[in-house]
Order: sequence, then C-alpha cells, then structure tokens
Amino acid sequence: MKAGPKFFFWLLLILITLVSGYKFKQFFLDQDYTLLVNLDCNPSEAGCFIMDCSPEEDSECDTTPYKKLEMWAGNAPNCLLQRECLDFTCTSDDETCFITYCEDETRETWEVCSELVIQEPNDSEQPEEEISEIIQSSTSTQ
Amino acid sequence: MPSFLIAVQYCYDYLVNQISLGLLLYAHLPTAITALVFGIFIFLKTKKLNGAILLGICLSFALWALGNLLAWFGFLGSSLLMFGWSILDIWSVLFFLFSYYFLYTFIKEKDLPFWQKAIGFILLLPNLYWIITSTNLNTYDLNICEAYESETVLNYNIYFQVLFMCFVIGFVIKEFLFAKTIENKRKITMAGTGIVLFLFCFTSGIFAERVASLLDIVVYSYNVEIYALFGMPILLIFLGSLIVKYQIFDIKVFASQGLIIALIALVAAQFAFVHDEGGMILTAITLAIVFWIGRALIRSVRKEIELREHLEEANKGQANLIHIMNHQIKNYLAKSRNIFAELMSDPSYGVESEAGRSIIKSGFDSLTEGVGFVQQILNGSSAEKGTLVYNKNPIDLRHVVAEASTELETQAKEKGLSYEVSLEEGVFTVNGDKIHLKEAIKNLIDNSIKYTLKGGLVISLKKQNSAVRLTVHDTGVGILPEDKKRLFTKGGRGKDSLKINVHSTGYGLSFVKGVTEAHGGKVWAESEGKDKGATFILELPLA
Repeated sequence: MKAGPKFFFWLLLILITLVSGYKFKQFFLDQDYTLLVNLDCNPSEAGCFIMDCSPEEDSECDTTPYKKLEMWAGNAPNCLLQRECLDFTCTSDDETCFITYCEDETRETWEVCSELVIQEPNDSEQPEEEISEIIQSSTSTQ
Repeated sequence: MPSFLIAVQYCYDYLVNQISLGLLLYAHLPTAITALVFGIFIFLKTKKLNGAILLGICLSFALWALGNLLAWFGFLGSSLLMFGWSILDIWSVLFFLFSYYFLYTFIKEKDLPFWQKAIGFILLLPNLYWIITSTNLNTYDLNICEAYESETVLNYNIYFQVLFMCFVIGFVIKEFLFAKTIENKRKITMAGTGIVLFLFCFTSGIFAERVASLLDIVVYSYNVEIYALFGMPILLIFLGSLIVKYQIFDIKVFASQGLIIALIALVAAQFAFVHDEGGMILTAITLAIVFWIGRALIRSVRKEIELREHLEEANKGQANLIHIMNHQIKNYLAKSRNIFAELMSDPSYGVESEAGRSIIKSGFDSLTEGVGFVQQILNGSSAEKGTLVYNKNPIDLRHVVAEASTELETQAKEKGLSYEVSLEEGVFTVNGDKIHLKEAIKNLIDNSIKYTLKGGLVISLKKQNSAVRLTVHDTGVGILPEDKKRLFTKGGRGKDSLKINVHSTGYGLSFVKGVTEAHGGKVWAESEGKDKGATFILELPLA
C-alpha cells in the first residue's frame, strides 16, 4: 500500500479512538446525559399526567397518574436508573433536577391532567345520628 | 436472557413486548461475526489494498451491528445504550464510504485519487462533530428505554445514505457502459450488484419511514432495519462468487468453504428463536441438508481449482520452453546471417562470380527475415508477459509516428496501395520508450499493409482530451467478430490470415498491446466485418 491511504487510515483511527474514548468517559464515568422518567404522582398534591386512553379498549392503556422528572443522570441514584424508586423527589440543592406537573402548557396530546382532589374536613362527614341529635337538641332549646 | 445481564427489568419487559429477542440476536450476531471473520481472513491472506478495504467494510459493519444491538438492549443499562448508539453513525457512514472505495479499486484496478478520499473524509466530519458536541444523543428516556436522536443528525445521515447510494449506482452504470470487454462488464455487474444491494438494505427501511411520515402513513422503521442486516450475507455471496470466478483475492477454496460455513451459522442461529418442537426439527433437518450439500459443493470446487492450477502450471512450463527455443533459434540464425554478411563483404573468401554473390545475398536476406520473424515472437511474448524493459523519457510522439510511417511508405507503394499520413500540428509529448513505441507503431502499420490487397491506408494522429490518438485505417480484409477477441493475444490471428499473410507470426499485435498498456494506454480494433476494412486505434496519455 502507498503512503496516501495510510495517511487517512491513521487519521481516521486516531479520531475514532479519541471520539470513542471521549464518549466512554461521558457516559460511563461522568454519566453526563439527561435522564427522563415518569414518577408516581398523587392527584391530591398536584396536577398529574394521565394517559388519554381507555383500558377497556386498549389492553396496554395504563391510567396510573404520573409526574415527569428530568435530571442529570450523574446525580440520579442507582435505584432510579433501574427504574425502581419512583417516589423520588428532587433535593433542593440539585439545580439539574426538575419535576413537571400537568398543566395545559406542559401536557402532550395523548395526555390529560388529573383534577386536583382537595380533601377538607366538613359537616357532611359527620354520622347522620349525631346530626339528628344536634337538630333535636337545638329544637328543644327553642 | 440470563438474569445477571438484566440491569433494568422494566426495559427487558418493555423490549420483549415489542420484538422477539431471538430475532434481534439472530439478525445481528451471526451476520456481524461472519463478516468480521471473512474480512480478517481475506486481509491476512492477501495483504493487498482491496483486502484492506474489504476488511474496512466488514469491520465497520460488525461494529455498527454491535452498536445497534446495544441500542436495542436498554436493559443492560442506560450508559451502555448511550455509548453504543452515540457512535453508530460513524460506522454506517464508514461502510458506505468503504463500499465505494472497494468498487472503485476493483473496477479501475488503481487506488482512489487523493481528492476523493479527502471528500469522503469530509463527509464523515459532521457526524464526528455532532458526537463530540453531544448534539445527537444527550437525553435518555427511561419510560421507553430509548435515547432521543437529533432530527438534524437523523436527516443528514438518511439523505447522505440515499444520495451516496444513487452516486454508487451511477458510478457502476458508467463503468459498465465504458467497459471494453464482456468479461469486464460481467465483473462490474456482479460486484456492483452485491454492493448496491448491501447498501440498499440499509437505506430502504429508514428512507421508507421518512417518506411514510411525509405522507402521514405510520411505518415503524426500526423493525425493518433488523431485516436490513441480511444485506451483509448478500454481499458476501457476491464477493464469494467473484473470488471463485475471477480469483480477485487469489483465494480459492476458502470462498466456497466460507460461504457454506456462513450459511450453516445462519441456519443454526435459528435455534435462538425457534421454540416449538416442530420448528426445531425442521431447523435441524435444514441444517443437515445444508451441511451435506455444502460438503459436496466444496469438494467439487476444490477439484475444479486443482485442475485449473495444474493446467496453468503446464501452460507456463510450455511457454517457457518455447521462449527458450525461440531464443536459441534466433541466436543460431543470427550467427548464420553474420557468416553470410562476412562472405558478402570480404573478398578474401574468394566469392567472385555474380551468381555466387547473388546466392549469398539471397541466403543473407532469408536469414535476416528469419531472425526478424523469431524476434517478433520473442518481443510479442515478452511484451504480453510484462517482462520487456522500457527506457521511458518524454518524447514527441508525432515525430515517432512520422518516422515509422515514412519507413513503411515504400512497402505500401510497392503493393500499389494509397498511403495518406495526416498528423495534427503541435507537440505530442508522452512519457515513453521511443524504440519500443516506434516498433509497436510500425507493427500496426505493417499489419494493415499486409492485410490490404487493394485501396490504401490512412494514418492520422490527433489529440483527444488528455490523450493522443493514433488511427490506422485500411481498406483491407476486415476483421470478423469472432476474430476480434483473439486479435491482440499471443499467437492470435484471424481465421484466414495465413492465406493472406503467410509470414504472420500472430505476435505482432500482442506486442503492440503489451507496449501500449505498459505506457498506460489502450489499443483496439474496429471493423464492420469481412472485406470491409479495419481501423486500429492506439491511445496514449499525454505527459
């Protein structure tokens, strides 16, 4: 072989080796990439995403509410990378960690937002016998 | 799948719901391993440029297949998936570039020009840039166990593949149309078809998906991509046929052995995804049949190759013997001629009578002709074998043609033929051996004179692009189509040529061809048939 092909051959080999080494460091050592994962979501705390489908019509339809997590993989715990601890929450000092709740601006066409379910104590929760006793006692005083 | 390999159970379950794991393994591993083994073996056996380029194709394909498999196997962990996927585009571009490089060197029988290599390298640079700057893959979605690819990078690679494939098809068609012999056309067709089919298999799936998305039709291209991997066995089959038929790598029996082994591996790999009893039995039967037929095929190929080698050896030995004999005969004839020359020139030998001098001169002329006859055979044989030594310098070919045509003018006129010489004005500098080129040109003209009984010759010289073209046109006996093939070969002559020229050696034109090709040129003949004259064209590159 003449010198011509060898020049490009060596240049190519060096570049590919450098690029491969760089990507190896990026993904294995630094874990320098963004991780997206859906976490468990409680509709009573915030608006959750729900898949807009019908379980009766589509066997793969999963209407479990979720919220979206986006964070730098280097900071993600192993259990999250293995998709196990889905109750994970961002720590306040992690600036690369974001949780997105469902709103009209953040949802996709195949998602709907769950209604915020607010739980407050009220009279209707009292048993009926107690209510009738209170009414009877108030009537007798009059 | 062994449980210790599954880092993310969710991704494993997600994958097996989408596609058969066995199919993934079957499509990727046997093809990659076969390609790699094939490429390494060819390279180690030949150590030629073509072998190195083929290794490049096989290696880049194997790395692409491995990277693609990692991209599917998200359950091994996100880092491995991201790493394998991120450098995929380098390998795919490389095996496209290497495929063209291989075709070029195979068809043109010379290395790719530097500027084309530079362009190929430039085409690779965008992918390298995007990989380093993480423009392509920087996000991993654990919900679908996939990475997000940049639209820009995807589009660049798709359109690169499609356009490059069109370029390769155009190149093959162009070379096919310009090929001089049927044999060359066949070689180009075979090599071109193999390479184009191989590239088409990769381009088709993703391109179809792009077109479908423009037309709002849903096509899931990644599954189609898996079947595209079978483009590699198609390429190997074509290459194997080229090796056996044309010995492009000087590897004989291995090609057929390699193909059979690859076929057995592919059939055996079906056990990876055939689980029912009936399927396994059928696969086992198929394997046994392939093994038995393959064994018979290898035996038959081996026998044929041994016979061919035996014949080649015998031919070579015979050719050497004839060459030695001719050389000895020429020496004896030359010695005898010198004796006659001495008798003619030196009166002290006592030859005084007119009759005596006449008979001595006749003997001298006859021996001179004999020496010339044998010398032509020797020269023709040496030129065809490539053993003639050339002393190349820049020469003015116009001057050489003028000299050669002047020396033969008398011979033509004595035969009553018209003799027209038309040389374009200018300097026609070629890098050549003046003596051998002049001899070759004289052979061409002499050949035309000998085979023209009436009419005449027209000798012309002109520049054509970056070459000089010498044309010798005659109104002679013409050339039959079946004789054209043998015309420039050693001992080749027309069917009835000895009737017209009893002194024909059959080596004159083979000498012309050998010398012309040694100077980087080409020579060929055109004729409309018997008694319709002939035109001999000799082209040489200008210096």
